[in-house]
Amino acid sequence: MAYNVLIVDDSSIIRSTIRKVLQISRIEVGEIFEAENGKDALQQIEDHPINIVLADINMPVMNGLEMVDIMAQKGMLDKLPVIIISTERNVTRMAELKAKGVRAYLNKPFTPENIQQVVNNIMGAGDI
Amino acid sequence: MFSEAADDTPPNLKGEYFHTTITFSGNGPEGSLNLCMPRQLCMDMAANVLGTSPEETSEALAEDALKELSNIICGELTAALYGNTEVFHMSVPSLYRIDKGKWQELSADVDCVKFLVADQLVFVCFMASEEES
Repeated sequence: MAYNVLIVDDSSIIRSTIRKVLQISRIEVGEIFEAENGKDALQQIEDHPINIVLADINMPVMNGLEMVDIMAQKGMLDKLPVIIISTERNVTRMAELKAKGVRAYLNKPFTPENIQQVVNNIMGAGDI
Repeated sequence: MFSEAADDTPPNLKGEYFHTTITFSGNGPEGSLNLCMPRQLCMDMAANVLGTSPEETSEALAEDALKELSNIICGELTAALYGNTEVFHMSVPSLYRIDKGKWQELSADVDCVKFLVADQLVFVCFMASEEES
């Protein structure tokens, strides 16, 4: 099954990098959608069939924490996996996000292997 | 890309520079990180990240690369200095294009550290203060 991915980050270079990693990895990727902030991301989720979300925290307009809060309130996190990719190191924040239903937390800088492993673990695609 | 310490030789500055500022604040510590690189080095860095050539890289991507680098450095520094239990709010990085005169003004700050990356001069200034309880 091919997975539709939503990349949420205000940095175009991060979005491009993640897109490249997904495209060259063994993850079966369908369509890749992009959003610059949490508000845009929620709209994309409404408009397109998304199977997994990779999101930053620090973004203008609506940050990743606010986006996760809204998704949690709407019960979306049970069915739509969210992986947070951020520079933040705070363990309390990571624990709070996981408690809300975020599936995984990756620190920046990340390697292509980090992304592949986390996505594969969550989507159950087996060995990289 | 590898970095090395820069000596006190007056720099041969030419061209345009990209300068980013990111601020952070928490329950106690607050401060800012300023990072400045030559435009061409930012183009090279973005090309390296994307696996393309500098000629194929846009200035928008080069700007984003520097902003993201400052984001990463600030995250690493605050974690290294204050641990990973302090909650910080970090601003979205701001980027400015500056010339040689502004570069010299900013880099004259005593908290500024200069180094060379690919023989090009880079400076970083990290300033932090802790509110007294």
